[in-house]
Amino acid sequence: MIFLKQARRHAVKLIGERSSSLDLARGRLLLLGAVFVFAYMFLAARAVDLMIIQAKPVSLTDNGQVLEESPASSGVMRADITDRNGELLATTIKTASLYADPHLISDQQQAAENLARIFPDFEYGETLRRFQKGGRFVHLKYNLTPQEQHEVLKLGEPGLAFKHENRRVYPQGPLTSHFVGYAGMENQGLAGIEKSFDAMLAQGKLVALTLDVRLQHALRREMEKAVDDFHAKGGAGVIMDVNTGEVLAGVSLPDFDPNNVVDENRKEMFNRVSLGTYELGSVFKIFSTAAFLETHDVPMSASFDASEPIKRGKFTINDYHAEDRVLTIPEVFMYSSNIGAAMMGEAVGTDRLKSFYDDIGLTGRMNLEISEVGKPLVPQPWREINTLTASYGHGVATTPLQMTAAVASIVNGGYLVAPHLVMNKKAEENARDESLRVVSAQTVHRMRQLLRLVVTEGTGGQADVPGYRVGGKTGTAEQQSGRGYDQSKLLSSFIGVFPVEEPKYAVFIVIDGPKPTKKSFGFATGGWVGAPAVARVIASMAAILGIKPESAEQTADLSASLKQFVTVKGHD
Amino acid sequence: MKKIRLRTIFVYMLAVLAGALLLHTSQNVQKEEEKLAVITAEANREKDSIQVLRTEWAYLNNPGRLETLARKYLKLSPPDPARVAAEGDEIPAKISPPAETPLSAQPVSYTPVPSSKPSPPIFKNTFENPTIKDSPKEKSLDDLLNQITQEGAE
Repeated sequence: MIFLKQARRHAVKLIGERSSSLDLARGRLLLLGAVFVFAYMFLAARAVDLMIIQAKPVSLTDNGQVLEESPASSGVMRADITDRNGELLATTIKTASLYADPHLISDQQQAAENLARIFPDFEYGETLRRFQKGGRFVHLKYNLTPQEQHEVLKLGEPGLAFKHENRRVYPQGPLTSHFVGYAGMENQGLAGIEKSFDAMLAQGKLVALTLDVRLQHALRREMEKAVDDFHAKGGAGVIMDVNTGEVLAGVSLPDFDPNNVVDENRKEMFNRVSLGTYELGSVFKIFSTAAFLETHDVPMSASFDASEPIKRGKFTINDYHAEDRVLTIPEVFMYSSNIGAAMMGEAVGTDRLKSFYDDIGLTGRMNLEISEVGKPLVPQPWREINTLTASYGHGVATTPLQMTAAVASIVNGGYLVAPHLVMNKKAEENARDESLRVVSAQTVHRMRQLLRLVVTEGTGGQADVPGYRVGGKTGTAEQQSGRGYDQSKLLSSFIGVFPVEEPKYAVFIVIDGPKPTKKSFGFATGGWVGAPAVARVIASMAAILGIKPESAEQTADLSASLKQFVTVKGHD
Repeated sequence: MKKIRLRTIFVYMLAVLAGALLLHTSQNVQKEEEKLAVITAEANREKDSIQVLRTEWAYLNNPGRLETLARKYLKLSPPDPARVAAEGDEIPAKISPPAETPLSAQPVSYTPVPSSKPSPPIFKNTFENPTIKDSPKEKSLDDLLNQITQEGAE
């Protein structure tokens, strides 16, 4: 203001006189002075602005030591993987890692003492030694819990700081380990969905699976029980929606905790459901019988002479549950006669049986959303004898998952389903497309009857769950060991479908290496190992999914009309 | 000439005023930006902790743990299919009390029968002794929570 007054005074003075060169010079000087004064005023204002108005407390950022605030994590967080109901299977949380800058610690002994109090696994001496060793960065602990972090903050020690890291966690533990997979230290997917959907997850896009953790748990619990009861090595199990091919549960035992992957090559990392291929044995009679019924228009009373073993060169085909007589189709199926099945396969013929197995998806590598998919093994070359053995599931090794999908394709009305793990609306729309038909409606009906008969009269009696009308097929295969088959190394399985009139769900359990026990009267076959486990799973599923039971009086048993072709002899 | 001088002064003052206004506005913006940064940081922290809590929720609700806890603390078990009624009308009807004797059938003269014992209470109190021994309800809520957390962590 003073400046302005002065300026005015000078101006007034100047007005009265004629301009001279001196005045002109003075005027210019004045203008110049004004410019400088304004410039200094601006600078002063800016200085006040920076030093007082925008003043910030002295920050520790220069040392990279931000105690609480940390710059937002670079990019997006890796997205969640959920089950079909939105339960978290894999997620990312920000965890803090603790480190120290010994130069900034005021009292190293005190700090070491405090840390030893907060973390029981810290030793006072060791921590102090690391502080005193020098260097400006001492890493102390990865992944603190929020509570531990709070305790450390409460110490108020400027030399202790946190580094925030994104960490992948799997709240369900080992429950879905083989399908969800796991991610490595840099959050890169290393197995399962984590690997195959790595790019999508890294972009922050959520992946919803078709699995249901409740069913997954029920299946795992019952399989664990079966493995324990029969001192088995492991097992594989699948629950599938037969109409859509959605995998509702998939369990491979033994399994692992994806939160703590020790070694990628351990045997529990192996996915037996989709990567392991097995000769599954008699459950394959479902396919050979379906192929026979599809290619031969014969009544169910058609019979096969199973009184003598079949001899072809050096091969001899025997029956496990030997009846030594002429068997009708229902009898072959319910007593699981290898001889009868081999005769059916022979009647179908090598080419037709092979192409049927191909069509129903048993022999090719299946398309699944994970990379852990095994390639089925078929005899090369496929000789006549292979047709006979393949009819009862020997010589053809396939994965439990595609076996289940193949059974689903028959019982759901004859429409081929592709097993899948990721929720997909399209799959539902595409179901029941006539172009996907693999067997006729009549064969479907007969197969449902036969499957029910196995449970009401045959080898799968223990799979029955009152009110839910389970149909199924047992399978007991000897595992190859060296060049031959070892009778003491079994693969005992059961495939169950329910409700059998119009199946909605298929449950398959195969147990690897069950040993006979006293409780099972010395048996370790599919009927004793797999069937009761499947029955328990189905009973749990009914409660979980709220499926209404129907009393026996309400519905006529599907297999009733087949009983006229069955002679029960010496069976309880 | 004088006119021009006045106008110049006016322009100077206007410039100073504009400068002051600009400074004021920029100060305001900076203050608001600071506030925003604080709020954003807080929101991010909240988001992170929500994520941690969601994870913990999923972990604490994993079916295996729930089953163990239910078995331990609830006297409930999955229903046997045979005990599930598919339709509502399968439930047997409530047994109705015996019909009252119609008035016409009652004796004309009424002599009350002397009762030897007091009439039974209409509602039998089945919850006379609600505290069962060794029931977890007896413990304080904190103890129970601690116990559950410990077991879940096992």
